[in-house]
Amino acid sequence: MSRIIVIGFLLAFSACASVSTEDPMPQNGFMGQWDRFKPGLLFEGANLYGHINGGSEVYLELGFDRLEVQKFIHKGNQLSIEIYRMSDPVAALGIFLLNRGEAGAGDPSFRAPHTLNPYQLQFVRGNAYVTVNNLTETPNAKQVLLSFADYAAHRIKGCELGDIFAPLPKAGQVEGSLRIVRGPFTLERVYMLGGNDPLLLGGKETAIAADYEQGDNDPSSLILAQYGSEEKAKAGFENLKTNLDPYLDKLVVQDQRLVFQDYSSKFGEAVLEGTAIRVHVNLVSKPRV
Amino acid sequence: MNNPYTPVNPDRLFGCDRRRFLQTFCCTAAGGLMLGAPPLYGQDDKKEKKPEKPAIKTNIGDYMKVPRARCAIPGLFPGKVVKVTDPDSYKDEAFDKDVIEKMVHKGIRKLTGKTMKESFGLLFNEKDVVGIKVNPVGAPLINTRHEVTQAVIKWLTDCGLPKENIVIWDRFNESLEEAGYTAKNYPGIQIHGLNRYSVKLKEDGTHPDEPNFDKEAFYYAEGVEGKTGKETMDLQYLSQHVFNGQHSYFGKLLTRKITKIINIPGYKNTGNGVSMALKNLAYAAICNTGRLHRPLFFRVCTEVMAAPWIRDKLVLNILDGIRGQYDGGPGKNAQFVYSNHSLYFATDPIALDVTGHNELLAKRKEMKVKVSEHPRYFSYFNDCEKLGLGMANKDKIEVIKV
Repeated sequence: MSRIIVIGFLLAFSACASVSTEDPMPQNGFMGQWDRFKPGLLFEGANLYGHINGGSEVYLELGFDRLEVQKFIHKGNQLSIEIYRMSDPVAALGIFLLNRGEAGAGDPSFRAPHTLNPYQLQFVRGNAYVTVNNLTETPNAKQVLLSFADYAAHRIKGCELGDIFAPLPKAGQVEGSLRIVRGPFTLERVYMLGGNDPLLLGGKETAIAADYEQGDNDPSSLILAQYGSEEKAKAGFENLKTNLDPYLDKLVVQDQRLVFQDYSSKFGEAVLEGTAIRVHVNLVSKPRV
Repeated sequence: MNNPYTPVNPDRLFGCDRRRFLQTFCCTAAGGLMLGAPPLYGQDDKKEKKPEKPAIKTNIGDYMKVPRARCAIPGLFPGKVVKVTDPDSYKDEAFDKDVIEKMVHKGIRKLTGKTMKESFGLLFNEKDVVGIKVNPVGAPLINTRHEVTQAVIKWLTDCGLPKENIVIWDRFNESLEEAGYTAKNYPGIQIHGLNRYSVKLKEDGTHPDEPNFDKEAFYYAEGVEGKTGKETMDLQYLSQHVFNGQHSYFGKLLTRKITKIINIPGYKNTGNGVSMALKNLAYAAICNTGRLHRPLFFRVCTEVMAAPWIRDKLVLNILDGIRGQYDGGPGKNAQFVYSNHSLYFATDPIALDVTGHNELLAKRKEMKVKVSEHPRYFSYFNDCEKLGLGMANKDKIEVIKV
């Protein structure tokens, strides 16, 4: 199972083109109305903090290359496009999943995964996560945002990732809970297992996660971390055992199994399975062997 | 008014023995993850204190040596938060300026128990230079509303404060301008960013806004620098953050000009924490902050507030919760913005943020957002209380709803 998961990710990457050759930023006179307003801004690597003052960690951890920001103006109305070039399509998808919330009904004419309201349109395509933002009370905003997004999307190369979440059980899965995890910051959006990258993902290994119904209780969360080798998975598992968050009490510690209880008296279980680590947390009942 | 809090030795608070200096750089994944676990205060008292881990050395001890001013936070009303709610404040996608002004009046009067004129006299005098710290990020959705800022300015000027003694400020000039905080929209009021972030460095490689910062007033974090070793990225960092060493300097605006601060933050999350009163000030008052997010996020929100240039000047906080954002923050994310119709008033920024944190937590649960109640997202409030900055125990905070 674990080898299939790793191969699946490799195939997903190989099916995707990397960088677009056309400028996805509209030029002056777009739609016969909108002109570029002030020079565009570029934020590379950790300088993303200059744009998102707190909150950049998840972008950097998933794999961030650069952000281009350009504002446009028409009769006093302003909007902006922000194109986040991530390191790979999975990273871009990861950011989109974090930000999309309950996506709701978008626009059927716009084919990239997206969310749309009068203030913001966000979409993911290929390596790019893009937001188009209404900065003033622009009339007919949704149509304007769609036009800008459509222009950009046509100039960003897309790719087919396939069902990268296939290894996660479908039964009982909470809609909208899928997540990509590549280190401690994206992991803590699912669950706090400890500091300093407890699963040793290092921004290079990828885990997938989802929530599952537990009747009237809060959902549990399942995290499936996939490594390039059994050695790496074992190292991650040993690190987890050694550096488990101090607020989690270890109940069972075995070579390939760890059971713990958290600050809310819920339970968690981590199991080493070849090249993968499966972690199930926020369980109302203590896991049995 | 007596401060009921007795500050503890800050070096023991963060697991760093004053007599032992760190020999090696210990980098934390995020503020709080490696700080150990200070005793919880009013939260889960059943948990034993966890072993402390080595922490990054800062200069918080220097701040604590400076005697507190009379009006130092938590201010005249420790542990007291007034929440004013009016559904007419934002209706049919329009803000009602008059309703919001009335809310500001109600909130201040209820907080102080005095008239508006008397409240002014409690907190200011006519010679004060008042810095209004807005949050311009996320315009037009979740930035500090102009209607709130304008109501506050009107109160100050009606009570005799000259317009030229009022400064609307933030870290970056461009952010203020983008959010509409301009000389044109606020005639006679000073608009002041600590630095520009899209400016070319000088020939000697320095930022032209270096003179805006006070080299004698800083937040020091040992071994934490804004350098990557890659020239282009380091130059970009400098053009935004002005300096990239181990010191984050306070703006001279705060150390040498402003005598009082009114803090008007937005109402939003940052991951499982909040970006409200503490974040709004702590990360805006100093430069070179990019280096601090990963290793020291919550700790900066705690320690910078203890610096005398904030601690002794911050007299009033008004949390702008007319609209809130319950997820996707701290940047703007329209998916999660909602109408909250409320303003919150406090002299005690800790009590205010605790109140906001708990409300936003409830909202996140209501909206079925993934929530973590790990103690680290709250423990920094307890640390603030131990430093004598305000009240963190939600059972002791008085929230008055109007």
